[in-house]
Amino acid sequence: MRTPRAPWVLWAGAALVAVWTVVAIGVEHLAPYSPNENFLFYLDEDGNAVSEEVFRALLKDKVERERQPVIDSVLRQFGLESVEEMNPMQTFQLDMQLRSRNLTFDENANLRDYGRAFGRPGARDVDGNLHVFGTDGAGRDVLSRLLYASRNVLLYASIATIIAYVIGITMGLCGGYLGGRLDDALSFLANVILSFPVVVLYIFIVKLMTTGESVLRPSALTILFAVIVAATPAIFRVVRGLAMDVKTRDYIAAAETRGEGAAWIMFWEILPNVRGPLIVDFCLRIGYTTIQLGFLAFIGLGLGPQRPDWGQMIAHARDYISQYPFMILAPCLALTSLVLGLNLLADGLRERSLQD
Amino acid sequence: MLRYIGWRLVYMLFTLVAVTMILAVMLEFMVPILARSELGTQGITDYDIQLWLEKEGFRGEGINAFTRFWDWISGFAVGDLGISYGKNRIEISTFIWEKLGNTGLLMGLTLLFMVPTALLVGVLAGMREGSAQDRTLTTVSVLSTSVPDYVSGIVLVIVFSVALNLLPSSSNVGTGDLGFRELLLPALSLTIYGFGYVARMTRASMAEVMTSQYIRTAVLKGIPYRRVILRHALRNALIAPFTIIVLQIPWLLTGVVAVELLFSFPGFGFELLSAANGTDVFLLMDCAAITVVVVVITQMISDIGYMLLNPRIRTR
Repeated sequence: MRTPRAPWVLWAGAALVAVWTVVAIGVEHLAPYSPNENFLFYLDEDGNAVSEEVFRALLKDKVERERQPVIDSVLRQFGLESVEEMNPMQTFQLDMQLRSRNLTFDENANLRDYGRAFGRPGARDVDGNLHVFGTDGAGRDVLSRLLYASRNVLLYASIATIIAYVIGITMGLCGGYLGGRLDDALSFLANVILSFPVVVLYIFIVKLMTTGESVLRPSALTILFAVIVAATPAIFRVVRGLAMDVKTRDYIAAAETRGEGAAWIMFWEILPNVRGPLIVDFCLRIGYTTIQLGFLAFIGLGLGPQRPDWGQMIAHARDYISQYPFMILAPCLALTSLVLGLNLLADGLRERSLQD
Repeated sequence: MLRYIGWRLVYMLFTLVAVTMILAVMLEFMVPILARSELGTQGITDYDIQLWLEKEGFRGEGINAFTRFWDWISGFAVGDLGISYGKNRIEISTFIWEKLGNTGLLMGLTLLFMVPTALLVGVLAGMREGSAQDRTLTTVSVLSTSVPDYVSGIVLVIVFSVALNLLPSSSNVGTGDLGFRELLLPALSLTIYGFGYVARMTRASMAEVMTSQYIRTAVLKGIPYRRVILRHALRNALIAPFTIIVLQIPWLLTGVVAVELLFSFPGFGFELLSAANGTDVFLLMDCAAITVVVVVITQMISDIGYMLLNPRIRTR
């Protein structure tokens, strides 16, 4: 009944992960602009980017149409006949009125002062640079931020997962192999931490580490720590279960008879023999950590505005979801494709290990 | 069997004691911060803070860390949840139950969507392990676990609210009006993220059952395949998913945070988040304590339920 397994799952996953890894490493060469540079656009009434000449004509047209009625109403307010009769105070007031309606443009004005952030996908900015994915509310290039974010996301997700694994493996091997009181204590600790839902755990840790004033601006290190604390107990449980299973094998008994030390047996006899399921779990967990980092950024606990990540981009673009749906879809797709790659890779590796 | 349940209860109590210690540390840590934020930063001396703390009953004759914690936890145990400093000192118990109810509705609808789909997909995939049907359904499950709820929620909003204008994109916290239309998109986005995991667990359980001796015996006896699946395999295959589904409840209770934020849903996760962003000490403590109680109880139910359902453990 068993058909030969289709390897495409493994390769599709590996390809997605490889693409994002290459992007993350070579982002300086791939991203068209710096992720934090603010661009300006000449936008018409509908928000479409237009050329300098068209924009100048548009402004002129607008000024001609709307300037005179404003001047007239101000004159009427002061009971004057012409602009020449105004005192400095009244001139200032007129200027304020015109400025608030964007009607101060004349031949000498700098056109760039009238430029605005927020280009649609494919728009050209005031210097003629093309922004394929458009720019966000602060005029930052979405594509560049998207690519730079991949570096931060991959880096932070991997670091958090690796550290959690080092701690979790050590604890799990000790608990599973040595057993006894130590195992009881470690299991109890893991149980207590797992009694808190991850969200509550994140909030508590961030509060404690930012001295509680507000959780709005924690450092990237705090976020990293919170994610590690939340991930470690689950890894401990996996490793402990595997170690308890392998402990009863003959080669462990042989190693014990040879007089090998406990640490040697744990890291040299047990660990290499459980690497298969651990590698699968590791891939799954990087994906899960990526989702968690995105979630934290989404609720306002991102890595900081200078360090773009996909979750922050999603949170920022949420305000513009109805006018500029693409701005929010781009980071959503990026995040999902990376996680999907990792999950497919894990699934493929698991099937391959079952087949051997 | 009773001994097993007894041990589980004792262990649960120990866990709860350890958890309350962590909560006590949190309370001690938060109270001075609360004082500072309530009084403001302009020209406030340590003496002012001291006075405020005495006035509120946090400091004074015979009051120490233990009594402070006891006041809160004994109140919590009988449903007196204290006051919310972030909401003009109204009693927390006046609004938190309604929010919990709203989140309960959302969780109920999510489980209603998720459980039948996940079980069906899992059983169909695990029935013939390694078949094309299995591979397709497993890939669908992998896809499901790869799309976080906040992403699927956004896609659903763009499709059903922005483009098609069929369903509301937010639940309007103010009006408190909550119908099926407001619940549908949040529940769907949670279902999309959650169902893959349950489906995979069901598949693994089903696949294991299908390799067992009694299924082979049933097939060799000539019982129709349909009947083998429905009468022999299904019952045993659904024991493990039961525990997984029970454990989804605490996940849903806090997993809703992102979705509730996205849809401005007037629920428990929204309150937890607003308490965390401010210095609403008792609201944060109550929310945390409620989640912990739910986690510990569901863990117990899943353990004991597994034991009751699985005859191999039961007779031991």
